[in-house]
Amino acid sequence: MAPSGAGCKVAFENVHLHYFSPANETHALSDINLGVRAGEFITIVGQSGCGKSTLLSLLCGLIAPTQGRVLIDGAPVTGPSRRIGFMLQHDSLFEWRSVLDNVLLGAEIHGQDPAQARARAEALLERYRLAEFKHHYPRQLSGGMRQRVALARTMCLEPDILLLDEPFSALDFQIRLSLADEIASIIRSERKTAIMVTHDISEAISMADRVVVLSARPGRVKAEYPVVFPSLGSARPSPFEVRETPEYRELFRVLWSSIGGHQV
Amino acid sequence: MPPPPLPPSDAPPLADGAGLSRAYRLWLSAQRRDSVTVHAAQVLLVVMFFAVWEVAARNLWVNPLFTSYPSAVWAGFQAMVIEGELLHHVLVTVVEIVVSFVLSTLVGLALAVLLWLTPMLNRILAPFIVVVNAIPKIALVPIFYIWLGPVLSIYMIAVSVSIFIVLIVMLAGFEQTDPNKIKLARTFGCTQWQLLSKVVLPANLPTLISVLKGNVGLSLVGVIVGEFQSAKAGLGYLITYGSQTFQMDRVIASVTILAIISVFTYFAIVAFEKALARYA
Ligand SMILES: Nc1ncnc2c1ncn2[C@@H]1O[C@H](COP(=O)(O)OP(=O)(O)O)[C@@H](O)[C@H]1O
Ligand SMILES: [Mg+2]
Repeated sequence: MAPSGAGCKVAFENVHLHYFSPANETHALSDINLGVRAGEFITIVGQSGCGKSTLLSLLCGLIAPTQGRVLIDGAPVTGPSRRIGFMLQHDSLFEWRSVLDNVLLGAEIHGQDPAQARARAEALLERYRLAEFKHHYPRQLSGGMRQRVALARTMCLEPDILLLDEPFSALDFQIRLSLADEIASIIRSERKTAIMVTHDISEAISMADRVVVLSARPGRVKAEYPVVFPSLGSARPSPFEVRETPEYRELFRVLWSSIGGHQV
Repeated sequence: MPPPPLPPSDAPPLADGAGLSRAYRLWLSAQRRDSVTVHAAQVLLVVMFFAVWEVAARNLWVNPLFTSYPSAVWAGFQAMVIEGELLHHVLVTVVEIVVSFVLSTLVGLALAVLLWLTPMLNRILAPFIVVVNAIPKIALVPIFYIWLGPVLSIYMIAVSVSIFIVLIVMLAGFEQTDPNKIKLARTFGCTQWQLLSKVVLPANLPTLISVLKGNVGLSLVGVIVGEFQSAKAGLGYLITYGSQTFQMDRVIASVTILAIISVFTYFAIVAFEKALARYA
């Protein structure tokens, strides 16, 4: 079952989160307990509004828990850290910056050595097949290319934890599949710890080592499912191969009813 | 049997870089014809305007004492040039416009930044800004004159006419900056200053340009109104002096020069905008 607390790269301990506004109070997350091992890739699924994005914001230090603790390497999160890279649903590229300068944004904010950062950025762009576009502006790129630039921008700070909040939901179906496969394999090959939010069950299974289901608001951890493929032996199949396995179909069915897919 | 080779075509249906298709050439020449028509009509309108004005005044269909007429305006302009004072008056007004424009832009922008950086101050001051902005600034001309004297009051009125637009529009722009971009910058742990310099200000460059365009006109209005009240020099002074002595030719000549200045400043902003175009 899920690792919890000690020894985890990332841990939520009895976390509650309430949003306050003059009109009302929203209980977004309730008693979250969740641990993620170093190098593990988990996906979080749940109905819209159940607190998935909130969970990532807590981990990134953009907001503080109303109650409970959020730990990274055993230490409480106090604010955004270089070690966490956050990929948001919208690529939010700055249209006034070239591709290269967009990738360098984080390094600039952290006041890193510009020459070294630039070398890293160029290497990443090369790797993501964007080298020839480094002096282009975002408006000249397709949706898939823009999202790869956003990935390069995240990776340029060399974070060891990656947070992804529905990073493909703005893309067309076809690009979405291939980009998801590509990004999953990049993250896996670099052995990053990754937490991805998605409302796409198929994406959740094909990319993750473990799928966490949140209940409707207030979000609680309703169930966790390890993603393993005994039918393929020990090797991790590519996201594309995963979709062909019987385990995938079974897990899809289980997750569908667990999330409450019938109540659309 | 291989298919017969296609016959060589000297008129491809689609443009292909080197040769333009016939349809495209026709379309282009139709476009050219249209634009010639538009320009010709524009020139004709201007010529007719001046001709009707001249003829109507000379035949006393209208009273030339009130309307003057183009040749008299031109003569009045020449007389002012010969008297040697005109350049001085133009320079005085241009300096006032430029200084007021720069001052109101910089101070308005600085205030917008200050209020954006300190939301509490923003909340405290918001109703006062609305009220002060609602006061017709022109009504303050006599007060500024008494407080500040003939020269400073001109700057004061011009700045107070234009500064609120800068402040209010820029602040609104800052507050509407794409929240996704702000969230992204925050995930990198940026400070408020970095948020300002790397996200909020560059994202609002287009807003700034449109503010500058409006501000130029307002500064000009402010300066002329200020000069009406108090100046001993400047185009506003020439206009009041001319009207008090019933020299309509000189009044209209001065107004025309003002219009030319206004057009020039507008194109200066457009040039500035072009220089920044690589950002957009
Ligand atoms: N800044 C906020 N202020 C008030 N309520 C919020 C805020 N952000 C999110 N919420 C509310 O908290 C709940 C969870 O939001 P979120 O984490 O974005 O859900 P999800 O990402 O799962 O769709 C939603 O009901 C949402 O309306
Ligand atoms: Mg969300």
